[in-house]
Amino acid sequence: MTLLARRVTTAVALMLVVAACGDDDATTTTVTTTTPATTTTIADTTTSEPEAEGVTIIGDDGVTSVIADASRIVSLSGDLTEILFALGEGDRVVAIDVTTTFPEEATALPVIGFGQQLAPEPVLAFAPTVVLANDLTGPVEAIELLRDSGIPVVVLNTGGSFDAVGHKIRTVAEIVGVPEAGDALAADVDAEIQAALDLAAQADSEPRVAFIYSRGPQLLLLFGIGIGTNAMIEGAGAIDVGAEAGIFGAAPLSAEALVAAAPDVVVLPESGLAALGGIDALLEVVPGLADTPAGASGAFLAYDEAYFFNLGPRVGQALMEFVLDLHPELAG
Amino acid sequence: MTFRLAAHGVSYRVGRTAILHPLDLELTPGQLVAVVGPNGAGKTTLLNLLGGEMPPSTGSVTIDGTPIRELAALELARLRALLAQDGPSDIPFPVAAVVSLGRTPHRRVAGNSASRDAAVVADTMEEMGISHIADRLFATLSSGERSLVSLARVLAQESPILLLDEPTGALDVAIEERTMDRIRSRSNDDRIVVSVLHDLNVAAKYADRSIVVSRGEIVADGAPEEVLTSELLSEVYRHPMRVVPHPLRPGPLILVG
Amino acid sequence: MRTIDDPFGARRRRVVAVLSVLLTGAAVANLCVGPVSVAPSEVLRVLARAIGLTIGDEPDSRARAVVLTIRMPRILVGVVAGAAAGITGAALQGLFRNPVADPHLLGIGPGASLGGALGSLTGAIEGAIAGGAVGGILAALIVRKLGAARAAEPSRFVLTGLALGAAITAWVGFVVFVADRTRVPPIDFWLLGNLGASTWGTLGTLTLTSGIGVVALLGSARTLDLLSLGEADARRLGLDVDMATLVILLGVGAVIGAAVGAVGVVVFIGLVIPHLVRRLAGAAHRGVLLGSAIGGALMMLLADLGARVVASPQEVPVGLLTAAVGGPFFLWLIRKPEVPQP
Repeated sequence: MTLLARRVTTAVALMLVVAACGDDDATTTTVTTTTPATTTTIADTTTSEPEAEGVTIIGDDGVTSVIADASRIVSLSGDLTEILFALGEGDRVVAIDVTTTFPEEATALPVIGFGQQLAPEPVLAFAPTVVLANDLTGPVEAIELLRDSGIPVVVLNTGGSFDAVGHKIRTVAEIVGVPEAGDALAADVDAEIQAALDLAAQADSEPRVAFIYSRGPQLLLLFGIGIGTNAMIEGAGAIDVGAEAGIFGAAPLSAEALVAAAPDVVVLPESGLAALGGIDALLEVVPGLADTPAGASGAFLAYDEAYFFNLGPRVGQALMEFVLDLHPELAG
Repeated sequence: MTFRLAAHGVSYRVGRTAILHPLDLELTPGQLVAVVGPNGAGKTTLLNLLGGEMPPSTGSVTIDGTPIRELAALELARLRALLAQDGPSDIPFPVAAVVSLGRTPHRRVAGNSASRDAAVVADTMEEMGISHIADRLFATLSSGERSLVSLARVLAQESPILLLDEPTGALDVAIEERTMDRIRSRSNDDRIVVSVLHDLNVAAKYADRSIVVSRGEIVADGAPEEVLTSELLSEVYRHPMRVVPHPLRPGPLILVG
Repeated sequence: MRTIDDPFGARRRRVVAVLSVLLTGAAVANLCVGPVSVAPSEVLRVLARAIGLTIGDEPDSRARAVVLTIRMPRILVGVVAGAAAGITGAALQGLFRNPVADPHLLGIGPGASLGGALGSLTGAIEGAIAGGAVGGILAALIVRKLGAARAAEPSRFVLTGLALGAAITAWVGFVVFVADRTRVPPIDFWLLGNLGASTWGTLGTLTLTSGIGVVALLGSARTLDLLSLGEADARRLGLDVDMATLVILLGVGAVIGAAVGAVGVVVFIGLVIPHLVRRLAGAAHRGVLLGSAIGGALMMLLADLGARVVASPQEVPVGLLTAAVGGPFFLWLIRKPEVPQP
């Protein structure tokens, strides 16, 4: 390498350094407008005593967080975002991740990425005072990095049973300081759930239902115990074929097992069904499905993913809709 | 100090095909031994067996009575150097680096040093006439130049036993003569030098001893003028060959046809 | 000073020096740039205080958090992972005398992913890193068996490695989708890499696991030089080729395996950087191995800079950038035959 070339590369290196450090605006314009200067008052979550207005929450991951200020929330879980908006506290949300799909005003907020592949800095860019996450948010190291940076992260499991809804609503309400509104919302949702459960009890059939999760032909999973779909199916007075087969969580869909399970109805997420290319495509991709009772009678149901199994504030409505779809004879 | 490279009852077969029938051979320093014969006769196999490239099917090869297979690879490398017919042509190093690799068996050996290595490399390159291309990358050389570099590398190994397979194949006649001179000089200083040669006249000119191999057997072994006869060569090569006294120097001249 | 067997010694040292300067520059750039704006003077104040010096006013706690807790470990993990990718690519190319040998193409990277995915079931990054190393080593041993065919057909060797890699990657997909999603990173982590979760703990485990391997690889420079003569001549010069191949493959497996366990598969670094270094500094492995380590670290940091900036505040997987830039760059590099004139 000639002397000239070496000088040029060294100069380039210096320019790189100067350019990078000298001009912050060029790289952070999307963020600077929302960054306030009030960053020095973040409570240290691990050692200090709670502030006068600090709320102490023990998350579902067992970690205790003290939230002194809930004015700027980053929500990494769609159900928790929905709860905040349902409580009328949606203004506090400064950023979301891709799992938030409702309500519409929420979807207009800046997106930091996908909570299940979390990077701490994009979250910090919004200067949050508290971060809400679910059990799938990760990796765990990223959550630790946020906590080490002084931001409390409250983890609330999405849950697999209806009890989870009330728990999440009340906890979120406590965080933002509106416990009465939380109790009221939880009571409303519980009532809606109960109404649906009562209606389902009047049904005279117990259909066998399979929930198939998909994001396209490469990914087909059968859901079972521990996921919200199980609560929905059993709450609607149906038999969860996945749970019956002993599946915990999700398992790759085995066409043979599905045929052996003989579901009467197959439920899928709307986006997943679209990714597959519709019912006909589904029937092609899963051999033998066409011969199951569900396939033979064309009994396929599709719902918005978040609506159906996130166990958020709309779960009561979703359950009622589902009950009526399974048992049309119960309508009016 | 004399030592022997010997083959005892050595044969080689691949599957059921016999490449070399059992033979005995003894080599001592001070002679340039040429191994000649037609294609497929087994010359390269014989050379490779002598060099320990593969174990013989029967018998054993010994250096001073010790079977080669009992020697560690590094020890063997210090005792013998083998120049094969082909090697990769795309080595991305400069000529001097390639030749230096020949010094590897001597690294960290008592009595050797980096400056000695450097000196041996420089002298060998000078001897082979390749000092002027010391910085050229091996992969950019002509095939003749590559031959010389590989030979230099083998010579730089400074081993008492030199086994060469067609060292002058790609060289023009003038360089071939010069190179054979240098190889011959090695045999003069207490080394065992065995070279497979395809050119009978080169063998006749430079070798002290000629071993003629045909169809897996040694059919003749002795001084070139005695061994390289019209009858023998015509029979071995299955082609009319005529041997006459060389007009310009003592020894035979072999004519084809 | 020119020694007889090393006419490129000076050039090599210059290349290493320049790469080191560029690497430092990239590290500084990564420290100063990101979705959280931290002024360079503040970065300096934070760093100073971290080593006990007080310069200027107390920096803001968020700046401290971002610089020391998030960016510093991320940069250092990037350096180690990038160096791992670079040096293992260089070692494999030398070992197999094949210009497109790269751990991710030969199935070692995918093997490490599988090991890492299984290791992450323990719930700790240490598990993923250790699992990655084990997976990498096992895959390397399989590659060694495949390698028996390589002398005859280098292209077939790579194809076999690719097929092996694809098969293993399918298994990674299986593990990811079936296993506890709260513990095993999703498939794009394994396929595209991500430095986002780098902590000081990650750095410690990664350095410990790959450290010995890196030292072993750097020490194999002479062996790799000898192997360039071809296995036959290397053997004739006293090298135990089988043992050397085993040691180098084990080193490669452990080094790249630990890196994959920590940050996933980041492609093209091991393919592009050694070629670049050989072009600039000659093929002597003393320089190529070290240069590829530094160059690999540099490429990783530059790619991570892009990954954090291109869709800010969101982060893009770093492997997308190395592929986007590395792919075309590699095609450009191999247009001409590699042999440069001194």
